[in-house]
Amino acid sequence: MNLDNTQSQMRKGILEFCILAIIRRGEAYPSEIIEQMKAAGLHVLEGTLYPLLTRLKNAGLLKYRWIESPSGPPRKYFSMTPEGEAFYQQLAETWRELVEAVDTLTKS
Amino acid sequence: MKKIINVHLAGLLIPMEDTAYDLLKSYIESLQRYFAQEVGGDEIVSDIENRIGELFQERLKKGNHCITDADVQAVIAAMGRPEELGEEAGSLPPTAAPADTIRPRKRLYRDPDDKILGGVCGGLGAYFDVDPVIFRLIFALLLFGAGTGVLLYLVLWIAVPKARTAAEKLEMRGERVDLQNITQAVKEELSGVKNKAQDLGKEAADVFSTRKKKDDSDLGDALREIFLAIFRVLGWVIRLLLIFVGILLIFILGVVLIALISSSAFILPFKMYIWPGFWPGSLFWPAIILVLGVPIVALMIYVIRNLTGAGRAHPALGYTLAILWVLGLVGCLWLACDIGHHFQVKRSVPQTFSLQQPRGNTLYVKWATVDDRHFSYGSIREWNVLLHHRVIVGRDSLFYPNVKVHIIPAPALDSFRIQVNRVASGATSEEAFAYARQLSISLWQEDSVLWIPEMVPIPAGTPFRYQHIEIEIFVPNDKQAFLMGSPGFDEPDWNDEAPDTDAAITHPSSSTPSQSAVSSSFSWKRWAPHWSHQADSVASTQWMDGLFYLFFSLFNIQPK
Repeated sequence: MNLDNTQSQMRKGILEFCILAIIRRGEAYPSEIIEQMKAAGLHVLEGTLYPLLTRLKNAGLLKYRWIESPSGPPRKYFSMTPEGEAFYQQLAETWRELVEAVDTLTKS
Repeated sequence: MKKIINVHLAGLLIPMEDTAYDLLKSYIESLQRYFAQEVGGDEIVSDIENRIGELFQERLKKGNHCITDADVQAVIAAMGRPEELGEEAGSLPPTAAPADTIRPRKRLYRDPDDKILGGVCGGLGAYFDVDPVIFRLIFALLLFGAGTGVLLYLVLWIAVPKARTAAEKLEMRGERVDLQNITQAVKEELSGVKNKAQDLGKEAADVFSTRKKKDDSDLGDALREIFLAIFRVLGWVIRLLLIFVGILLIFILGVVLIALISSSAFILPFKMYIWPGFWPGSLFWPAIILVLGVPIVALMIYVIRNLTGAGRAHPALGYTLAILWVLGLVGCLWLACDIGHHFQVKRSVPQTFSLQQPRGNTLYVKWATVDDRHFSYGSIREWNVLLHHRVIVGRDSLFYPNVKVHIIPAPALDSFRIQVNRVASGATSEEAFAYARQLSISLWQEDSVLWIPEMVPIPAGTPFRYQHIEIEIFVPNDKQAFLMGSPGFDEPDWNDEAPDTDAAITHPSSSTPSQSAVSSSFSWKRWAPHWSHQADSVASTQWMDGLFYLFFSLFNIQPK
């Protein structure tokens, strides 16, 4: 059994949920999302974020607009769509159930 | 010392070391390949490019002059390599129809997912886009073709790499490789040359028309690239030639091996006369097969790997083949030395025969055939008749034309004289004498006709040491001797000669005598080369004589 593998599997499952949670708080561009995740103690490779964002956007859960940056190229600012919000609520529900279940099981 | 180049990345102008640029380029290309199958893959890559641009700009703002290798490596570590991304983000979602994505160049692999033995047929099926069952049937049928299927399958198994990774499996089913693709590749190379040539022409025109001092490194670059392209095309041609030569060599070696194996009907019974003991003889076939077979296998592996574009084979394979070949070569050399050793010494022992002087002035020398009534070696049908009936391996004896007659003019004599010598080779003088003494020839005379048996059998158990009989007939000045015909076996099925000469073969007495008293061989027996009975042939004292004789009789060649 590979510990790293199991850990990354655990993280993988909640990645989309976390991204949605960050964007829900307000428009954000990728570097910002990464920063917030890092600040919260969730370390992921930056490269993982871009495919996920594109997939969420293509699924209609996110939308974006270009905003000129004070330094460098314009940035893609992502925000939620109503479908995204609904999706997020469902995920949040699942998350609460999971936390409860895992808590019950781990608290002996 | 490093060159700094300006790179346009995500709308930014970024100075980079050229090595850093190469690193970044290959990284972005790897991302492009990784996301190529995903919907919106281009978007993902350009997002990542944007981000990299941003990170580089931050670095430059901190006061760095340019982006170095270390900077690029740091960025790659932060973004993650494609294989790391795969672990983090899980396997890619099912891709869109693979047909509209660009398929990679096709390569021959062994298919581990569709295999019975080594996946060779599965891979071949994927390569040629047909059902692998067809190849399985072909190999199964070849199994009956003297086991060539087994050899071919093993060679392919060794030569063709297994498709291990997903990328390799994709290549296995990739773009069709056909002549059109190859022409396309060559065309692209050539059009590259053409463009370069045009550029060069323009630059040269600039240089000469304006007479301006120009940076001639551009010119040098263009020239260099043209030469590189030419070399690439040449490389293609040379590679194709090498493959062609390889196939030709495989063909030739294969033919030689098959010829040897098919002539084993001759070599097998004959072998025991050359190597009567167990050891040298049993080495013969393994040595021959190794010496000829190993290059065939090696060339096949080389050609297959080259044709399929597979990389170098495992070095152990090369060493194994080389060692096997050297073993075979050592075996062959040892066998040759063994033969040489046993043919080192040549000795002759005289045999007495009292010749009655014929009443007339003429002596007719006639060959007595082995199926003559004077010999009782059983029916010719029981013999293993070989090589146009020049060599016969009987149940208990070996026959080959080993009686030579020389008719020599001797003006000093006043009557016919005959000298019969039994000659044999051996490892030592004693051995050679012993083999020579074993021979015994019985001549007989009917007044003016001297009958000479055309061959003397070598009993089984006695090794072949080129035992032969040399008969010298000295002819006085006023008399003459005729040698009638040449020795050989009768061959009823072969004969398409005119009936009268046919009769002459079986009844030599009815043939017209040769007009020459000295050179007395006939050519009317076309399957019996007349070189072996040149009257003036000089007896060689070399053991090689016997080997040459054997060799020439093997292939029915007539030496000068």
